[in-house]
Parts: sequence; C-alpha cells; structure tokens
Amino acid sequence: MAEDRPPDARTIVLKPLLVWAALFGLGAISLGYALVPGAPLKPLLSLAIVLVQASLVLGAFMKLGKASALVRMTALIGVVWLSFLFLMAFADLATR
Amino acid sequence: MSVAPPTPMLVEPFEQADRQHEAMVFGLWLFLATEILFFGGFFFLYAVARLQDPGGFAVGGHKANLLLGTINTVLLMSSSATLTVAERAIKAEWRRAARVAIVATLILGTAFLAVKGFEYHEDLSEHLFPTVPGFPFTAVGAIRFWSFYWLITLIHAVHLTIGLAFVARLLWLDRLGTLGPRWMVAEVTTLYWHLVDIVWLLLWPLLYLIGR
Repeated sequence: MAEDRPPDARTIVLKPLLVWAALFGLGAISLGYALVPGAPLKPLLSLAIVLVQASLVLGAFMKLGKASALVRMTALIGVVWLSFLFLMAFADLATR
Repeated sequence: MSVAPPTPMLVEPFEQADRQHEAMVFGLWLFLATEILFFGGFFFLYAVARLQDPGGFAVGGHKANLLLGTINTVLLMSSSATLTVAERAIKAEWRRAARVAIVATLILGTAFLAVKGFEYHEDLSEHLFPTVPGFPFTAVGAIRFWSFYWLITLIHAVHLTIGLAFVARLLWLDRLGTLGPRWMVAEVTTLYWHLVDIVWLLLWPLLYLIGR
C-alpha cells in the first residue's frame, strides 16, 4: 500500500467521526433521560434510541443499504426468525 | 470522491473479484444472522424474566455500575469508528492511517476488557453473584437480573476477545505487506466487530440504565 495521503482522506476520517458523534449524542440523551427522576417511558425511549443507533451502525458502518439484495435479505432473516420467537412466545404468555 | 480499492488477492475457487467479495460478505452476514438468533434468545430470556418481576429487576439493576458501563459504551462506540476508518484507509491504500486506526481499535477493545475486568472485581467484592454467600437480594427478579448480567456480559466478552484476535490479524497482514490486496478480509472483520458493538449498545440500557 502507498504511504501518501489519498484524495478522499477527509471522507475516510470525517464520515465515521460524524457517525461516532451521532452515536455519542444519542447515548447521552438516553443516559440523561434515564437519570431524570420519575420520567415516564424510560425503557421505551432507551430502546427506541438503541434502534436509531443500531440503524446508524448498520447503514453507515456496515453499509447494509448499499449491499446486494442477497446480503440484505440474509441480514433480515435473523431478525425475522427472532421476531417469530418473540411473537409466538408472548402470544402464549398473554393468552394463558 | 472515492478511490477504487486495490486489486484483491483471489482465492480458490474464485476467478472474479466481485464474486469473491459477494461470497465473503454473504457468508459473513449468514454467520451474523445466526449470531442475531443466538443473542436474541438471551434477550428473549431477559424480556420474559423482567416482565415476570419488573420491580425486582429494577432493584437488581440499580446496583450495576453505571459509570463503568457507560465508559465501556463510549470505548466500544469509538472502536467501531476507528475500525471503519481502518477499513476505508486500507481500501484507499493509505497505509499509515490504516495502521494507526487498527492499533487504536486494539487499544480501545483491550481497554473495554480491562474496564470489564475491573467491574467484575467490584461486583464480586460486593457479593453481586447470585450463588455466593452475602448476595444482597432475595427478590426473584433481582436474582434473575444478576444471572443474566453475568451470562450475557461474559458471552459478549468472549465475542469481543475473538474480534480482537481478528483485528490483530489485520496488523499482522499489514506487517507482511499483504493487507492492501486482502482488503476483503478487513471488510468482513469490520462487519463482525460492528455486530459485537450493536449487541453492547443494546445491553447498556438493559443492564445499566434500568432502575435509575
């Protein structure tokens, strides 16, 4: 590999840095809200924030949006089967 | 402006770079899908246990070390960013930046494990292990919370240790001078590392923000 700086050096460093800043900011919101005494819906908000953070990592770092349909479908399959586990088990629990 | 990655080193049975790339990324994602199911089973366990005794879970969770858990979250988020920089620098043939970013990732990952070890030491000194004498809780939810805490954080630490070995391998490939043509190896290593990061991003609120 060459030692000299490539033409897109800013993109190589800056984009991951911006995503890191967004992840950090979202984490700070989650922490701040969790520490507010008596604030409602804390678990829901923190899980919603995790969903946004995970989407950022999947999209910007793992480049899932730019991946082929085969790869995207493979990534989705794990989540789909997992959702079956949650849906069926909680349906059972809720109807006992 | 993006730069085309270096000519990749082809391995049997592939004769075309794009097919090898697709196969490697697909294969890794297939593995990650099984990892999602693997960790998902534990999250399901957490959800059911918490629903059955939310009060006990909150009481147990309140004893988790928020400061150390938060420090580890920052360390792991940062390591994901540095490994992404490394992967892109490798593809752009910017060797010095790639090396620095790989070393930074190794330092951040090792720091995560060191902080975790320190946290385990603190937990054990406070008897926060469900089977040891002096465990401070009797509520079923609190006992289940700490059982889940030890189980899932140890499994995550094992995954992170494996990830560190793969990242260290990138440094070795760099020393051999073959990292540029083997940028696909860097790409799939990065994918694995990010999944371990996502799992921790989910664990942080479930283990450390609960009961606050």
